[in-house]
Amino acid sequence: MKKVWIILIFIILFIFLNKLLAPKYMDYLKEGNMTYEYYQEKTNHDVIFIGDCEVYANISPLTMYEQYGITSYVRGNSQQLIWQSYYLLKETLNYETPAIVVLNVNALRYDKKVSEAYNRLMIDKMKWSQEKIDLIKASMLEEENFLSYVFPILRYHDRFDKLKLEDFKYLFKEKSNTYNGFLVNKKVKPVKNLPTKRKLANYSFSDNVYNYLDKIRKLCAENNIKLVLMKAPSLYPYWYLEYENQVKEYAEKYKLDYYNFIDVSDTIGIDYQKDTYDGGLHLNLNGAIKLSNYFGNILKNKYHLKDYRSDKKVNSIYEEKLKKFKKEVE
Amino acid sequence: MKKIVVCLLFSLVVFTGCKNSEVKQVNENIKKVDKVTDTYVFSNNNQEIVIGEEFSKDKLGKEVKYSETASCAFEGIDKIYTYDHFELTTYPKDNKDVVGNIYFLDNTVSTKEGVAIDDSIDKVIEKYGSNYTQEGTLFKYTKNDMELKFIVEDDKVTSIEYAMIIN
Repeated sequence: MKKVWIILIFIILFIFLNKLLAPKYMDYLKEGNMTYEYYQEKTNHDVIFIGDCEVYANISPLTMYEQYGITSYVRGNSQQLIWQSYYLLKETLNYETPAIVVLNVNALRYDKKVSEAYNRLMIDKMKWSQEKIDLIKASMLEEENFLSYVFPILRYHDRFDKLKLEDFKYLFKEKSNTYNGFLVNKKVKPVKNLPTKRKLANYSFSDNVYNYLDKIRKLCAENNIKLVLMKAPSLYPYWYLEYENQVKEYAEKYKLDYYNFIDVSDTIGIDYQKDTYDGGLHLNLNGAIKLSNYFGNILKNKYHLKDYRSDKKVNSIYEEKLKKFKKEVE
Repeated sequence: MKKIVVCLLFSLVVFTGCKNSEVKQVNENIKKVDKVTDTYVFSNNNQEIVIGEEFSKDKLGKEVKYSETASCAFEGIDKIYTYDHFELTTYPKDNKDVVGNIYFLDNTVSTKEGVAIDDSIDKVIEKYGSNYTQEGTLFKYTKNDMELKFIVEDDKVTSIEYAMIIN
């Protein structure tokens, strides 16, 4: 009997330490909580945006709702690579089937796994599913091991002396930092200088990238979802003409709609002296609202999406969200 | 019974308490890397710039242009100093700006070993040997944690870059 108690206490202590030592991503590195926040949603969405920081920084779903009654969610993470977008989309389909999936194409340029740190931001708080297992396997760098995703203590055991107040405050509770996946940034850092546009050895998207792009396209087709491609407006890193041509070619081949918002920045009204928080890489709140107004109008009119503002149940949920959103942005 | 308690306590200590020895090991490795001098060095006006070392602005004088890029989520910014004939990028590391990358802008500047843009691939091999890796038009020479990269088109060098290997 005593043995059982000791083993039980050990298990409880082990679970507790796993939870305590894992980063909470609440007040610091908020990007690490984005995958998890999606699970708190109470309604389905007609549009799901997937991609890297260019979606979570530049697309404001609540602006689209307020202006057009479109329900949408951004499933984007920092440095989210194309294979990660695929598994995140696959996981999303376990919860809902949107009418439209909008994929931001920026990440198509990257073929290599970037860093463990970005993997952690995206994966640590993802719910367990077959998709999570596949995502970990597809994302892990050589020096990583799968078990450390199962038992965070294996990865974070050295956080003992780095624990912050949030590690205790959010040990058993969560909070939302985004608005349907949109991470608000109100800072303004005007574009001054941009680095030189460098010559690359290879501009072609890799076979691996095309393979996952195909998988996303097929997954959408199988589920009767319209796949739309977009490139968010940005001045850096440079979106080379060679990249653009490959996306256009792919879109034409498979009859996909593709919107490159770099080319229409002026029409959208983006002012890179005011509407960016990091000198032209991402839009700030003002810029994101302008882009979301512009793109929302296209989505609404071209794809005839339902206006949920007349749906009492959905509208009451979104009214609450909007109240909170406006409080933060005003 | 005692064995079980000892085993359980030991496993907890392993999970949570190996920090100091690991940190010590990592620090030792960093020291070892710091001591490595076998690397490609960029030289400009008799000033040597080593990839991975802390950047001293005084060495190169006033830049023509300065820009910054931030990472998507993490703190710290990459600083890009554009000079007349090359561009130097620093990355944040241990609260310092270390040289991460040097990119040639024209053919008026050359590597310390004497290779410039517009030179032939034969000259590159003559100066650096044939111990390179090739990916399409890219020829890479690697030493420790840095790469010297040449893009070669029609047998002519069209781009030269010193770059830190970032893991």
